[in-house]
Amino acid sequence: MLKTESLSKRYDKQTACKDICLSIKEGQVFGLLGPNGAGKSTLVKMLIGLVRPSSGQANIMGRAAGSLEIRHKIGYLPEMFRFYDWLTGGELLRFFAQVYRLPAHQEKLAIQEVLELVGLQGREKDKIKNYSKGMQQRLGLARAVLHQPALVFLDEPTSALDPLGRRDVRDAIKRLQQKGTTIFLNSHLLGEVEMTCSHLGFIKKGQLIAAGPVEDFISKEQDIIVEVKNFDNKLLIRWNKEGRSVRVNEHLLHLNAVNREEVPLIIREITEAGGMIYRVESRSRGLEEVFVDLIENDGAVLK
Amino acid sequence: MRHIIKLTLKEVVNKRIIHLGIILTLIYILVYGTGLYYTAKDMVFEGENFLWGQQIGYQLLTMGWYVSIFMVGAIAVVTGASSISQEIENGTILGLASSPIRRRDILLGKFIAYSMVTSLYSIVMIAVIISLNVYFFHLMIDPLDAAAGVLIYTLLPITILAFTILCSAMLSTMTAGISSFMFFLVTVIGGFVEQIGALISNASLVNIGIISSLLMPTDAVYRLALARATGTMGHSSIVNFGPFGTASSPSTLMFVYTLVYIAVLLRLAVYYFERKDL
Repeated sequence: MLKTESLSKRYDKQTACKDICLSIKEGQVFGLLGPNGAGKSTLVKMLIGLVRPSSGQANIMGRAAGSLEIRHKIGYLPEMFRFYDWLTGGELLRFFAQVYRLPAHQEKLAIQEVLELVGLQGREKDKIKNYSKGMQQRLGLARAVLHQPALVFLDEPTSALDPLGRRDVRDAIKRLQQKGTTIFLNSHLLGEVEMTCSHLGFIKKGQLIAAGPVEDFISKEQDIIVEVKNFDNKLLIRWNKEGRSVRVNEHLLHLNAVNREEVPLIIREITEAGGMIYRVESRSRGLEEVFVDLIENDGAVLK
Repeated sequence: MRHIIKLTLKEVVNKRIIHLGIILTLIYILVYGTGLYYTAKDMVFEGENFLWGQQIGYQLLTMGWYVSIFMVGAIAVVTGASSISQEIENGTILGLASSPIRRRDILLGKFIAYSMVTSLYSIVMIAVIISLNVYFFHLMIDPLDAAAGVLIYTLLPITILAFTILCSAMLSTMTAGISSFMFFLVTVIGGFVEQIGALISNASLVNIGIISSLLMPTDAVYRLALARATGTMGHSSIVNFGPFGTASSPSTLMFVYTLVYIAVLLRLAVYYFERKDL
């Protein structure tokens, strides 16, 4: 669906994106994570044709990204969607329905569908200047998916929204995913991405430092808490020697960064050493920890 | 491109600054018309006074027309300066440029729509000014000449628009607006200097005017339009031997130059806009 090869963008002496090699398959919801100024928006803009790459190339559906033909097949929601506020929401969608050459008989139906998708039905006759920021953003999402694109780029789609608005957009994204739409989501809201995406990429100082399925990042390691009596301290000494992060607090044993496959082995070792287990709690490493690790420590923990 | 033209025309209708411009123009016409009324009120337009009336009428016509170029220029700069740069600054361009509309079509669609509006504004304004003078001073102006002159005059806002849209594609809204209007004023004073040069037969002054007209041929367009509209009577009028008149009238080659000038500026604007990172 989307492939980039050594895609780079330089502004004078500053590098916004450097040698980005990325591949996204059909139906994926890809979340691009990175701190502010990491190059997320620049990358998306290069893929849409709003920014000219300094070097490298990007293809969408086998064609050059940004070409007129591809722009017919993709949707884009900018970080802060703004359009002529003297138009009504309905007029804006009708304008873009004509731009995307939707047949006249489909236009009304398509507009109704997207208004329902973003929860703006009944507000299409209001002028955009009377919309809240969240409503404008949802209108932007409606405009992005009006022509049923195969690939949608969403640049910080929920940053201007309140929690309810975020939930609406999340639901809309899920419905798009169910329809088979491929989604490229730019965000720094980690919870948002964790709940929505199937694949992730991390960008730091313009470079893609990691990419892959969400499970590769989130479920790889977890922290476990074991309530245990008669714990053999020899195990603790051995684990510490092995470099495992472990501590005991009364009857609670805390083990950090444990691989999923190791959990039953650890439990067996405890019981074989005479420990009596009353409770085992497992907590996956959240995306926040992964993000901080990757961005601040270059993925030292993951490695 | 037609989508952009339609959208831009709708935008113009909704622009408050355009509403204000129209109101101020109506006030200008009212003041000008009142002035003409009181000037002509006690005049006799028969016998030996006929030529005297014609002279006064031509003087007031050229004055009214000359002042109008500032108003037309201001309207053209205001609409053109914000055409691209403001859309980039407030982010509305992202919606348009990411859709399957060529950037060339966005720019040219806006140019065509603004040209239509400012041309209509110029036509109505000058038609009213000529009509008022014909009515009050019984000016001997051939309607066909007047129509041709008014049509030539529409090149004035179109020329300014082409220049301003080029600036808008390259600079910020404020910088594009100020630089375009200042440049326009430079050519106005250049035209002024040229007419004085023609009056006192000073080739250097005439050349200054010609050079400024090459930089932006708005003054040449004004004088071509005035010369065409007032016809032979205008040329014989003593009033035309002054800064507002056509003592040094541009050749028809200047008309062709203006068309080429507009085309080149638009090509440059498209070139810059197509390469601009949004």
